[in-house]
Amino acid sequence: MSDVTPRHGVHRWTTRTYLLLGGGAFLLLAAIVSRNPVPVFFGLALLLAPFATAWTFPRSLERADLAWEDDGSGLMVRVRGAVTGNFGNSSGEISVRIAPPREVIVTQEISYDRDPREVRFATDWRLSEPYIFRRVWADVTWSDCLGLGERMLEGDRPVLAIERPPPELHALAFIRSPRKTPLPGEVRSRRAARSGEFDGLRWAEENEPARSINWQATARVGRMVANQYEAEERPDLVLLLDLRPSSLGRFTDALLLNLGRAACLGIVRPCLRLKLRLGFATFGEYFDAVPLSTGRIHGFRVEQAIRTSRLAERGGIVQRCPIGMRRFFRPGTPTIIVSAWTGDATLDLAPHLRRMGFPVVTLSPSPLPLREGLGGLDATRESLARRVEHLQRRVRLAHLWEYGPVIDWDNYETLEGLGRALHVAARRKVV
Amino acid sequence: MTEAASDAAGGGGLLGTLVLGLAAVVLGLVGGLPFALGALIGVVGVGASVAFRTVASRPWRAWTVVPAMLAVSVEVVLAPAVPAAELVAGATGIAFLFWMADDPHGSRGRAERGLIPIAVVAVAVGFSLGIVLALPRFPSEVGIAGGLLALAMVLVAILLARSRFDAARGTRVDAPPLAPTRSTDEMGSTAPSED
Repeated sequence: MSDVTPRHGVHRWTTRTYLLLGGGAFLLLAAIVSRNPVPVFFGLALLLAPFATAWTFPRSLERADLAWEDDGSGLMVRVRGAVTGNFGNSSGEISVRIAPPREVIVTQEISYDRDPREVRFATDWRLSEPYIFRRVWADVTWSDCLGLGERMLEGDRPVLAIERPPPELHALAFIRSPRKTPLPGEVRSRRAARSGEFDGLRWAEENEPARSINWQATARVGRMVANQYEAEERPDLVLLLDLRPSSLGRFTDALLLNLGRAACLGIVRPCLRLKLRLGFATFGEYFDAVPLSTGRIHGFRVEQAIRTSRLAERGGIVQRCPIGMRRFFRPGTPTIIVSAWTGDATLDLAPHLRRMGFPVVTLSPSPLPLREGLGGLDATRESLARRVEHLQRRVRLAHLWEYGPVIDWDNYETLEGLGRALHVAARRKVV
Repeated sequence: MTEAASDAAGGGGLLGTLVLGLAAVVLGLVGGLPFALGALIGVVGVGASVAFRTVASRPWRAWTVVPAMLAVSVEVVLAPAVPAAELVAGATGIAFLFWMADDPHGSRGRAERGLIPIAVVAVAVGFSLGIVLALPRFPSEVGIAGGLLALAMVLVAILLARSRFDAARGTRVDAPPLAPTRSTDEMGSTAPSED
């Protein structure tokens, strides 16, 4: 939370004031035209009310400080806060104006609990995107009891931070996890490739550079032995994000794509931290890719590509994807397909990529948790419906196992399932 | 933007609706329309405003006054220039403001707190009506001018009741100290202050 400079308040008329003034002016005009004083007596109240209410602003209310926080978790944002000030016997109302970010759905409107010196408020939101970083601002206003004018109050206006970071894939089992903390005196190389950490010895290849040869070991063994570095151990990795619309509808597709983007961000960061060469590709109507590379700048490039990826208007021909993959990446490069697979065979990428020689792991964000509780069922039927839907989805995903591991991602808080699947695949030399 | 989904304990705007509905019906009955058509217009207008206020979301709540205001405006424009109609028209104006204050979306006690500005308006309207009704030889314009004068007097009284200095606006200037001040730190030594 950080403070922002409070804005000075000026009295601001509301739409209702202009309606009343317009009505009063019309009645005055009608009285003049018809030479009948009766409309004036009604119009007088309309014309005078805004000015009478403006003078009820309490002088003691010079400052109102806002304090608020988000104590929700997951998809729920629970905004709780209080406005403190010398409200006294103000004839108006103190209210908090919050502009919720576009990623939230207001599930419970803001409610107030008012005391002479404190106004507590609460509101609940539901995130449409599970992983966001947003700053939310609020204004505290005093408004008169007739709703004719309002005044923005001065005071502390901290910014509310709503942070739901994506899960990071800490358990990249097929990558040898290095020590997190360097040993005393150890200076780790920032470059990938042969300047990586020494890992062990291996038989030298035919055209092995002389600098890689471990001459002492060669002398002992009697055969050319080369140094092996960690960087050489790490395989390349390609992330393929599916942007095609599915039969679930654009709204659900957009939610699932957001989940997929969060998963990609969660995978990219630890991979690049481990100096892995990483590629990123998207397939909507057309294929687009960021080639394999590593390093911080590449990380920015990939993250930017992930963030700017949007749901395609329509899906392209499936064969475009493997052809594009062949253009950008070497066959044999492990590929993680992030796709909300719905069982539609025309949307299936895994067989085509496998045929092109790319070992695939499919990470499929499940739409089921997003639909929970939306059917208006009671607890028993909801539980039954959830089980049936889980079974149905497992059947749909089952045939994809023919081409590689499939992760039904329904716990959005973690990518542990993917890590476990990669670990098993690495042991079986699938990936 | 969100707003209080408020307390039904505040009365739900029933009292304000009753007051405005009654005033609109009486105004319709003393008006010039035959067959209680004026009362019907008033009831329909007030009913439409109440219904609109019940279902309207926050951005549209400002517009909930329009049906009732239109209905009452029709009634007062068609009313004959008789003292009874003038009296009821003024009362309807006050009732209309009370109906606005008695908003079911507002907080508890909003209607009671709203009586303060309504009372200010009522003084002005009442002064105008008093001049017109108590002194029938004066034309209505004099009554209206008297009402505005009363309002000006009330506002001046409110102004005079407020402090002349507004510290938040920075209009108050403190006098400089007569002698340099000295401060003592925790160790007991003294040093001139920075100001």
